Amino acid sequence: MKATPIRRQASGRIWMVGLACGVGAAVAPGVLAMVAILLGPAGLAFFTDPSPGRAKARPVLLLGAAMAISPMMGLSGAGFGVGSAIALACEPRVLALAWSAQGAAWMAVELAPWVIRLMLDGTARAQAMALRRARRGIEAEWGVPPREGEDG
Amino acid sequence: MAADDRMDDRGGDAASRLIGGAFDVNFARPLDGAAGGLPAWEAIDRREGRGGLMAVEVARQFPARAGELVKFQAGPVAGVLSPLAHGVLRAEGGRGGRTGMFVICQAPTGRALLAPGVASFRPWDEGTLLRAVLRPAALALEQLHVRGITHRAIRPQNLFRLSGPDPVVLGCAWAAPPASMQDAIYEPPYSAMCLPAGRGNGSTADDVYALGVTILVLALGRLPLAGAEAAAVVQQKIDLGSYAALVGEERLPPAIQDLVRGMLAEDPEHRPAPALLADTEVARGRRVAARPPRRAQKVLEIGAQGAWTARSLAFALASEPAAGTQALRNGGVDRWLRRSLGDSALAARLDEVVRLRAAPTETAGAREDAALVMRASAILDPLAPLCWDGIALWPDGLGPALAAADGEDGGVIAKLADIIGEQAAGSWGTARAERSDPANLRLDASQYRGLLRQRGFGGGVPRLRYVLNPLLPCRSAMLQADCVVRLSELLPVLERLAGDDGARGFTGIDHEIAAFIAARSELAGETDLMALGEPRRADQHAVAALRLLASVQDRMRGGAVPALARWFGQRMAPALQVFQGRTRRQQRETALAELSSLGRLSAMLGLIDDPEGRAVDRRDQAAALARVQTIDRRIDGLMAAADGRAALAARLGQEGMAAAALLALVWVVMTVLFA
Repeated sequence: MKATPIRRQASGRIWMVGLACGVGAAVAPGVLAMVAILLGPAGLAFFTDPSPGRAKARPVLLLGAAMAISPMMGLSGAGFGVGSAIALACEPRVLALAWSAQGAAWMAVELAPWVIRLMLDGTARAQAMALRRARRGIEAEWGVPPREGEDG
Repeated sequence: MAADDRMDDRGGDAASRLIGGAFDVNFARPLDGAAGGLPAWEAIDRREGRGGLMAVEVARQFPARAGELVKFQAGPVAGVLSPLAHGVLRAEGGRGGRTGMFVICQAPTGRALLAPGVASFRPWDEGTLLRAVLRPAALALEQLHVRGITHRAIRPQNLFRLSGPDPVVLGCAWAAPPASMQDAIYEPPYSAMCLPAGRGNGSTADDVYALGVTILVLALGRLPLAGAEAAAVVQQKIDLGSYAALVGEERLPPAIQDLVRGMLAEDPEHRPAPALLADTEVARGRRVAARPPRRAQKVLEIGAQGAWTARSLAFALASEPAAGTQALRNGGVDRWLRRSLGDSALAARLDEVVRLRAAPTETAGAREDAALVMRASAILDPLAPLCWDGIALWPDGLGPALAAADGEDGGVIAKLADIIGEQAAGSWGTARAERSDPANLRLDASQYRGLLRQRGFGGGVPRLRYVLNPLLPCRSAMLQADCVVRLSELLPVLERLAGDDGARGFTGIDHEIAAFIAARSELAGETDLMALGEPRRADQHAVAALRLLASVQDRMRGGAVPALARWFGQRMAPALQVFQGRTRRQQRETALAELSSLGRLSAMLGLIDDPEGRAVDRRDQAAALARVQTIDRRIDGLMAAADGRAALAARLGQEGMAAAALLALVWVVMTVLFA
């Protein structure tokens, strides 16, 4: 059976990620170790996100990356060693900050659609009420029958 | 429009106290026998302080002679009690009086030549008759003839003189239909056989005939044929001739005999003209050789009548229409004409009519028979009037006949309606074309039939009755206690009725009032008159009635009628339903109530008859309906977009958070780089 273009693209991306990880492990193992520790939740979210384009994982990853910048600068001062990377990354404050930011991002990305939907539905309901009010005015003025299923 | 046709702002009250704005009636001074049988009272000209006048009351069933009253506006005629004015008086609570129409006329200065009820008296001598009666009466008739007026009420009871040598004056003949109060002996048989109110204006020759009979009565010193029924008098005149029937075996002075014989000629064209009578010697010497009618060898029995001549056959057919129809159809008349009378030319003319009428037509049988007898009578005797199903009348007497018969005699009114519906006057005129104007008769007959057949309140007998009788009071049941003759008098009376306790006296516009308005005003819309006859649409009925009365108010420049307006205002609400917009409708209802109190009917009508307002209303209604559809579509759209809103919320939430996270990343990177 021939592979579809999407499957080919996905498997190609996995290959590219694997290749990047391999190149990273070979060239900068310290950086890779720090990224793996600090962005672990984001990576987990990235690989388990079922949404198209991994839309939910993206903010988690981006915010995790933002929290990883400062430890990464510290790692550059410590010479990019794997040990230094693990020590820096496992520092409780740094780790808690990175992971809690990713957790907050995840929570926000889960809550935001719900809140926005509440707002949109509220707005629509208000519009519908205004329209019904206008309709009732016309009904009273011109003797138009009420909408089907509505007693006016 | 005449000035007296206009209402004043006092609702016509001023007009009701004085006739013609000048003549006051003293109801405490009745003048018995002064108006030839009609009730009369002394009257005074307040404007000129002149006495010697009388007010003659017009009977409701018998309208005054409108045409003659107009002709007398040129001035009185010497030797005639001439009318000076006419109008309506209303009884006033404190002053008494009578409600009705009155003709103001010169009052007789002396007594009637013969008091009513007197059957015999001392015969007048020839000299007095010629000097005091014939000559002055002939001169007066000549004056009337010049004006185109016929008197039609010449009889001893209606001729007056002060004392022995004084010339007579002709009495009042203007307050009742022509000849309607004449006994049969004073009228030519062709007038006497007609309905009393249907005798028509006739001609001056008919006045000469009546004058001849008057002279005959005075010369004889008794009433000829006294006690005989009118039909018997006519029958004798037809059978024997008027002179022979009235004079009988009596001997008259030679001069009187010669004059009366000429004046009682059966053919009006054979009677001497009034101008000729003024010179009695010349009139006496005048001889018109009238051929005696051809007499049959044996009598033809038509019902109870027997015919010896064509004239008497025509009269028998007219008197016995059922038997006459049978005799015409079974050929009895034709055989009698050919074999007994020996007039085959007349028989041939009659045969054409019978064969034409024998052919089946769509017309009802009874009318078909009546038309057959009518045409046969006209052919047999061209002098005869229009005879239809047992009644007879002259076409110009149709209006008064309708007025007199309506409400009294359903049979006569039905026959008159048939005459109009069948355009009988046109056919009658054609059958005796040498003695009438068939074209005009046909034209009039066609117009009358159109009015009779008109549906709704604008047609039928009531409309015709008012069209043909310009001075007939409106016969609405609401107006029974009042007298409304002119259009200008209508609204004040209706206003008073509507203003009575609870407006109990006013029930809206009925057929009689509508027909009265339609006949008196050319402005009445036929659509409104149709709507008035449609009882199922109460709102349209009320609007049509309001429109009709508003046109009267505008035309007469009438005063305010607040009670009437209020009555209509209470019934106009359904009519305002044509306006769909509630707000505008309520505004108009409010305005209607305000205008009702002002009493201007046209302004009220303007609120309903507002094409521009209705167009705006319709336009706004269409816009409102379009807006409703838009609203419905938008509501449906909002309800259908719930799933779309969920997807949008998810996308916005995720992309928004991604953007925020990206901004945070950029901010951290920038902070680290530029720290």
